[in-house]
Amino acid sequence: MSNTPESQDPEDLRFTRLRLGHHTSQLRPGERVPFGHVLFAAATAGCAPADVVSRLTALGYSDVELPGVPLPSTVAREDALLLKADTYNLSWMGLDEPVSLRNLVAAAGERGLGPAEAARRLTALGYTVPAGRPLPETPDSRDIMLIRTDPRGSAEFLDWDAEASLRHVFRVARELRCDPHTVATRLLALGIRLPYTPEPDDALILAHPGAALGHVVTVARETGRTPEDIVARLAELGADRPSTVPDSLDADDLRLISENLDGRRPWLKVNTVVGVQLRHILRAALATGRTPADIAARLAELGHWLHENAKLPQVADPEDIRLLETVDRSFLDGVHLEHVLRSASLTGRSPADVAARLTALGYRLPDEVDYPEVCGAVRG
Amino acid sequence: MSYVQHARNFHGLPVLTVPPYTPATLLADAASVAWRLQSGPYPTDEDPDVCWERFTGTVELEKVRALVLGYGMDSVTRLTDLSSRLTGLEAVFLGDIEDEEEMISSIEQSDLTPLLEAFPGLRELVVRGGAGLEFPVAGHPGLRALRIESGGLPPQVAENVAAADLPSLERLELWLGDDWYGGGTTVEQLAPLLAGERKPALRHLGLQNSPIQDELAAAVAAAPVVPRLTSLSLSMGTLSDQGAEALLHGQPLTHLAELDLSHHFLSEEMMLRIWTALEPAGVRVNLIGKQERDEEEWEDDDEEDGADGRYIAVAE
Repeated sequence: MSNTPESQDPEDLRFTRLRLGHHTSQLRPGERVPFGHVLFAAATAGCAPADVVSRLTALGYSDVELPGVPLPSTVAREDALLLKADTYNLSWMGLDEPVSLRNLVAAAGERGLGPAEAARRLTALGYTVPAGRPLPETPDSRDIMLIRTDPRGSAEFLDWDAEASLRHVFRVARELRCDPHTVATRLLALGIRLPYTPEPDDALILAHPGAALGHVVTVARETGRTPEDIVARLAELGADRPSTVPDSLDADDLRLISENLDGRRPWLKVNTVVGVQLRHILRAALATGRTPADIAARLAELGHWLHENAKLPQVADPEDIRLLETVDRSFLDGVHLEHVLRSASLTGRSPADVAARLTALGYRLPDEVDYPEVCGAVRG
Repeated sequence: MSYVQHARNFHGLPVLTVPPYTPATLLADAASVAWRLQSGPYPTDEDPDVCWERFTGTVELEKVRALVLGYGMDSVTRLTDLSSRLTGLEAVFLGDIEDEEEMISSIEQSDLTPLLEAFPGLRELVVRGGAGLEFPVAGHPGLRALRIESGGLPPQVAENVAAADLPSLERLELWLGDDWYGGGTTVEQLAPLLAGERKPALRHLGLQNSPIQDELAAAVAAAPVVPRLTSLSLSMGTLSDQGAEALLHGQPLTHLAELDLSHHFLSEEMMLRIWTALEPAGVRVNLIGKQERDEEEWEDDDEEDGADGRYIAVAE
């Protein structure tokens, strides 16, 4: 067999064509041999990197990329794979440019190493890892997601010294289903700058995006801070925050603004289009012994107004609540025959009764129908 | 609201999506959730194989009761390869993919025979997507719930499900879909199912999302399987007054607890007739989703596509 670059000798191919999973590192005649290929060939063949260089040179691959440090006498497969670039196909990091943060955290994550340790190993192999930057010792395979700013196309990643936006922090937290404070502190550990300084309370403050008044008040209590302070911090962090924070809170207020009327999450979401649901007001009135009008007035002060089309009954009737629980239409929607029949079915009331009561509560029923008086059977 | 959405609960468990690159050890107890695995559409999203290996390498697979496989997690082989470790697996959802990720008509499935053979303890199976799907007539002895969601279910699959031995099956839902997207199941192909054969435990039947919903309603009106059902769904299809009339004139349906006709083309008069005929007898009738015939399409109908301005809920 000739020792030409096109050699198909299996012994030669052990050094010129390297398989890794579904991908291949294939040397091409006339092209420079990447250092990563040399180390991976050495690790795969179980020989010294210098021997690989000699063999490749003998095969005609004279242009071999080599570091400015002595070659290691042996190399482990895991270390050789640190040199793999974070690309879809198998390619190797070049020695002639600094290791990007993307390649570093991808390599560290895939090998289960902390970024600091991966940087030390790459440096020892002759790569340039930008110096003077703090890097975490703890491994976290999620790092690569933390620095990805745009997944489209060939994707974009934050590099050394970059600044992450608040929007980025929140988006990553959502993708990884972790709290934004965890994302922020890890980004800082990776040397990424932030437009704010993370504080320990942030984990609590940012724990539930779309911060509601109830969240602000309970976090204030848990942290010993004022609600105004929490809102100010949310504003500083660019997070959603309630538009209304009353000077003082009544004893019932937290119950009123909690969906289950228990003073806990989930908190009532402010609906700026159709307002608070009438059934919530009636349930709150029953739960607190106050009148629906009183509840509606207080909720309005807390940022939850009732739609102007709603006709608030003077007394909260459990039958109304049961009926309204079957209605998923707002005061702006039309309640059609299909909805009336469904409510009648679920409540055991006649369609005529349902239609009349919904009309009395302010709903719009546009269909010209003679609603039947017959009731559905009572079900267990 | 789209009918094709990610499952939030499955097999009585909350669905927990494994976030990318996140070790499952940071998440929940293996038995407490239905695990959802997926990858993203971009080249720099986590490789589905890596995600799968990380999950199977860190979770106590013996404790896993329910798996939901989403985008990028082509499915059956992954599961069968690990059947010796997934010893507690009771429920599988194949292809939990939303429209924004991939249209239901493009979701590729495969032959379910190896899956059903490898998991004799399987109790619930949901499949989304009909392309490439095959279902064995041999059936499964323990399966209690089967739902196949499709914009166009291959007729052979429907025929095989109808003919399959599924002695424990209590709930069966088939979204039959449009001919244009690979559907085309006929009433005749469902004959063993409608006759009540080979599925003695069946209590809920859904023959849904069909462009021949009226024909199905007429068939159901006389089908021997109906008396043993407690609930029936003919929803999501092109049901018109014609099909509803057949239901009203067919065998009694008053033993049913629920009749789901949602997404329909019934007139208001017919809605009231159906409701007043069945509700007082104790049947909860769902008539939500009244549709209007596309008059332009109806007038332009060239009789070839047979669409006549009525469309099923899920097709493309």
